[in-house]
Amino acid sequence: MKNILRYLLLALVVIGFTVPVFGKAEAAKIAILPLANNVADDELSGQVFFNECMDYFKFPEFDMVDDAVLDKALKEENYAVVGKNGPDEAMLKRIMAKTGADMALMMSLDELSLEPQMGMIEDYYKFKIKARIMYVNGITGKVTKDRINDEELVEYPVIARTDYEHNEFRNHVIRELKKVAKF
Amino acid sequence: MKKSLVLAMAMALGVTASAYAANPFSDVPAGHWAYDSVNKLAAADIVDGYGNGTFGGDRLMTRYEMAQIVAKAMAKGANVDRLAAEFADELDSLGVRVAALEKKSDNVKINAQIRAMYQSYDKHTNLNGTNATSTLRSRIWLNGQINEDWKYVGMLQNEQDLLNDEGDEKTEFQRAFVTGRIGGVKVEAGRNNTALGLGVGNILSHRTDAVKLGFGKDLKVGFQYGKISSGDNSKKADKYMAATLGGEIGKLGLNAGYVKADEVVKLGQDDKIWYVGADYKFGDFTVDATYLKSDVDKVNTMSVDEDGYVIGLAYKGAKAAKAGTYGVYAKYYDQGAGTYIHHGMNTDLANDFNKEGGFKGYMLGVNYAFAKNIVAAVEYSDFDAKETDKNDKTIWSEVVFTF
Repeated sequence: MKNILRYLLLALVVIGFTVPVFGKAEAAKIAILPLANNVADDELSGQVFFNECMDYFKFPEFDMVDDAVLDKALKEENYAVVGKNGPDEAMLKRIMAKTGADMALMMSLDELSLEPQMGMIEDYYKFKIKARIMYVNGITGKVTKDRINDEELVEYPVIARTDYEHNEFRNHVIRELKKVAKF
Repeated sequence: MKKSLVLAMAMALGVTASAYAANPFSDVPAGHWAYDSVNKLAAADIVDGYGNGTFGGDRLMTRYEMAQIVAKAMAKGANVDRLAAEFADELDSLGVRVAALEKKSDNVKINAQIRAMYQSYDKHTNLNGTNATSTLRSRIWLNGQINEDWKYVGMLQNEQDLLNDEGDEKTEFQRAFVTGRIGGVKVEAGRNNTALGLGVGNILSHRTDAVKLGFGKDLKVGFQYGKISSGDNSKKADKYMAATLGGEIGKLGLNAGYVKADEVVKLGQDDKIWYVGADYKFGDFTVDATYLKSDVDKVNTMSVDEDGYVIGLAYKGAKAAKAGTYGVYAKYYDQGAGTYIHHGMNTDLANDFNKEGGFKGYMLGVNYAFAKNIVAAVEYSDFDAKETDKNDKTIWSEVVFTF
């Protein structure tokens, strides 16, 4: 009986020391590629995209790949040119290998417009958005991707004095992150 | 904040100075680990250092100083999204355009719009003996972003007849709806204006109390069911339902739909309308065409055309948020009485000619944004009745102020 209690106490001590050591998880490293923006004269969508990614992939669960390391990998891939073709799984995996990232996320924005509709009795604008997103999770081996292709008619006073296009782009980014970047 | 953070920008900037200038800072000698990066940033006029010729790399800097450096880098075309996001508030105070979007999901906005409209007919005479109508329409809009998926829109409208000295005016709750998403399905429910039949609303543009669903990416499918509400206006019809399909092949848009309306007042019967349409954008021009087919071939004792078509051409368009923008548009219409319930064009002529079996003719219009949120439009229409000898011309004009 004494031996059993002794071994039980020893086991408890071992568990007590090891659980705090092995229970601490390292942050997953994620490479978030700059938005590949195919919309002419759009200066803000890149910031919107990054804002929402920073909100979604929070430390300590996630740690972003160092800018200098990521920029070097992007230059080697000629990302400024190739990125405009949209997310590519092979390219994302190469970037993950070069940067040591566990995951990679890329989005391309292909259309973001708000055009007046003339001649209508009500003051309508047509909003259109097209984008593509891909998320590669090196830990689970899963690749998830999605497309955005949306349009709506909206009355001008509803959107007056706002940056409606970028507000809606932000809402779409939030939805897509929840949809594709599950962890 | 140490200036060492600034050095990361040298990479983001990607400036390939063809030749480095002579060492600009006395405290960053050639052997210093940060020499190359600091030199690059100074050559690109991103950092200036202090007036005494030093960089001050070990000195703490304020967020405002950092924002100024980020602003200069953005002006040079550097990809500094991460830094711009971090220093958004400071950049905004510097007048740099940043994505200062409303983060709160419970914000409420109040906007308003006033429209002064004047329309004169060539032949038509109103009940008060004039050949013109003129109204002042005032609207207050209440918009609430419930969360990233849902929003509420409400609108109260007051419309005054400016030609009638009897002080005729009416105030109505014209919009009160929520719109959002449930999974991949877009949902709208409540009171809103509904435009059906493509173009300006070649079948209907009127207030409805309805539920609308939409889904699909490349092929967009829509369903709606509700009531065409009349409010203080004369009743147009009772219940309605509509199904729509839409998609794109490159720059060619294709659409089709079916609308069924019960007890259409002007026809004295139910109405079922099919339509197909296409639009094509080339440069700043858009051309569109719509064909409509109704099951109504007789109104009272008058035989009417069951079908109709609309062709349109538009160039640009006045954007209220940008002064100096303008648009020009032209339409040709040939629509039998059964192909529209309440037409969405600006002039009343199409709806006036409904009892004449429908209308055909052309319309020319132009709009212009005189200043931000002040847009004026003028339209000229020349229509003939389809089944009688009546014809008329109108000049319709408006000035709209949004604030």
